[in-house]
Amino acid sequence: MTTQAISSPDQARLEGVGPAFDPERLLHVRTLTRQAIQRIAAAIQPGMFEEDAVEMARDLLAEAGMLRGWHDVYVRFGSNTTKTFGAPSDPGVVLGEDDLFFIDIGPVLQDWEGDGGDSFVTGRDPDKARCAADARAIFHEVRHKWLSERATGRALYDYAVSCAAARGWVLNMDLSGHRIADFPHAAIHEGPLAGADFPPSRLLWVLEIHIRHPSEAYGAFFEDLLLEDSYF
Amino acid sequence: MPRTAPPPDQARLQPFRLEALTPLNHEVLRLELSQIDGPPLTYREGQFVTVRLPDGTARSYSPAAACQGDGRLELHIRTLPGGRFSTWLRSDAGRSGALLDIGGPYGDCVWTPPATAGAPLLLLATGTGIAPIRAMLVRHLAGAGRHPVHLYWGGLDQPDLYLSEEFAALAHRHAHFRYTPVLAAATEPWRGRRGYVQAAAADDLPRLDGARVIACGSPAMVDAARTLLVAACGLAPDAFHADAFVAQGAAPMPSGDASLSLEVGLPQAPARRLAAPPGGTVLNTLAAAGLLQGVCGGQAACGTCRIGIAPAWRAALPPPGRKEARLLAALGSGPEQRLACQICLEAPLDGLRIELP
Repeated sequence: MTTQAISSPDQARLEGVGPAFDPERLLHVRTLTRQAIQRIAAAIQPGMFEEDAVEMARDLLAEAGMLRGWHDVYVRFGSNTTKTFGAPSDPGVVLGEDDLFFIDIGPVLQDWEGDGGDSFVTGRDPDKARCAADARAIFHEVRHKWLSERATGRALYDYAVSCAAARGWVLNMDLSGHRIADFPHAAIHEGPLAGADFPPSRLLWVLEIHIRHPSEAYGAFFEDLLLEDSYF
Repeated sequence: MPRTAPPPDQARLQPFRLEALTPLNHEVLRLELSQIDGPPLTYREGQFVTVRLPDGTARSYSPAAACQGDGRLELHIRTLPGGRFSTWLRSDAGRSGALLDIGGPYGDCVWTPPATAGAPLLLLATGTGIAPIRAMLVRHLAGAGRHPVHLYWGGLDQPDLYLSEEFAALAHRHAHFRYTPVLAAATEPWRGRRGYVQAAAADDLPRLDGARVIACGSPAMVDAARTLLVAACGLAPDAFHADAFVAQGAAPMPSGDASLSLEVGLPQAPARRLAAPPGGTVLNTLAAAGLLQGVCGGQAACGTCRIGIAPAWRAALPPPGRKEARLLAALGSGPEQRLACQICLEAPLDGLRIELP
C-alpha cells in the first residue's frame, strides 16, 4: 500500500489540537484505557463466542463510564485477528484452548480520546504466543527508533515492515497510526502516521502494529501513544 | 452469485480497490474491496451491486457481508472456465490493488420476516447464492427471535458448501436458527441430507401457510422451489421472494432513488426537507446534506449523531437495539433521542421528522 506524503510544512497544522486539549487528561485516559483492556482480557475464556466477548467488553466499559468511543469496540478471536480495522468479523468464532485474541478500544471520556490495543493468548501454542509478544516488541522497536532518531512517520512504518518481516510476520499497513487529541481528532487530521514526512511529536500520535502470519489465519495487534520509556 | 447486469449507469459508478482475493473452495473466490472515494456505498443485505471490469464488462453480485457503511464490500465469485471476470481475476491485472468501478445497490430481495408471529422464515440457497443469505443472517438473525429461521444450502459435494462451519456455529448459538446442508452428488461418506434444497425443505416443513421464503441461487432451483412450496406446502405465492430477474431473465430496475423525504428541525434555522434514498440511514442523509458528521462510521459508538425524534414519529420507529440502547443510556438520553446512524429509512418512515441538537 502506498501512502500519500505529508510534508513537514504541514506538521503544525496536522499536529493541531482542539480547545479542550489537556496533556494530563489525555494521559489519564490512556491509563484508564490500558486498565480497561486488561480487565476485558481477564474476563475472556476459551469457549466464548467472539460476539459475546464484544458484548461483555461493552458492558465493562459502560460500567467504567467509558462506553462512548471514537471507534467501535473490537475483540477479535482466532482467524478474525487477521481482519483489518473496521472489517466485520466472521460470525460465530469461538475462542479455542490454544488460541489468540486481541482487543482494540478507543474510549472518549468527556472531551479526551483514548486508544489502545493489545493481544493475548490462551493455552501454550508457542507460535501464537510469539505472535502476540512480537506485536508488542515491534511496537517498542519502532518507538525506540522514533525516540533515538527523530524518524518521520513514513520512516517509522518502513522500519516496522522490516521489523515484522525479520520476525516472520506481515505488517498490515492499513493500520498505520493516526492522530489523537481532544475529541474528535478526526476534525484535525484523519490521515495515517505512515504518511507523515516529519517526526511526529509526543502524545499526539498513536502507533499501531498489526501483524499476521504469512500463511496461517492468525495475527496480533498492539497500539499505544508515542511516548517515552518511562510511560511503559 | 453472478447475475445479468442492469444497464450501466455511469453516474452511480464508484471506484473501488481490490484489497484481497482469497479462495473459499476449488472455484469460489472471496473478493474484499474498499471504496476509494465518494460517499460510502450503502446497501440493504440481499441487494446486489454491479462490478464493471476495465474492459467494460459488467457483472453483478450480492455482497456477502452485512453493510457497515464504511465503503467495504465482500463478494463471493464462482470462477468459470472462460468467464470474463474469472479470466480477469486469474490474469496479472486481477490482483490486490486493482481498481474496479462498482454501481448500485439494486434489487429488493431483502430480509422480509413473515407477517404471522411464530411462522417460519425459510432461506434457500445454492452455490454462491449463499452470499446475500449470509449477509442477511449476519444483519438480522439475532433480532429475528420471534420467528424460526431455517436455512437450506445446496451443492453437489461437500466442498461446495464452503461456509458450512460458520452456519453450524450460528445454529449452535441461536436456538431459533436451523441449518441444513443438502448435497446432490456427495462422493465422500455423507450422513447429511441428499437431493435438492427445495425437496428437503418441503419434507421438513410440510405446512408453510403464514411463512415466507427467500430463495437465492440457480434459476432452476428458484423455479422448482416456488412451484413445489406453493403447491405442496400451502405457501402463499406472494410470500416467495427471489431475485426477480433470476427467474424472469429480465434486468431489475435500479433501486435507491431519492424517493423518501426527511424533515429536519434545526436549532436556529427553518426546518429543511431532505430527499432520502430508501435503505440508507438517517445519518447518511444528514451527512450528505452537510448537517451532521458522524465520527465512528455508523457503529453506534461515538454518539455524535444523537438526534431527537418528533413525538408523532416515535412509535413508528423500531425500538433501539441493545447496542444503541446501551450507548443512549450511557449518554443520559431521553426517550425522544435516538442515534441517526441506527435508523434505516424505509417506506413507512417517509416524511420522518427529526430534530438536530
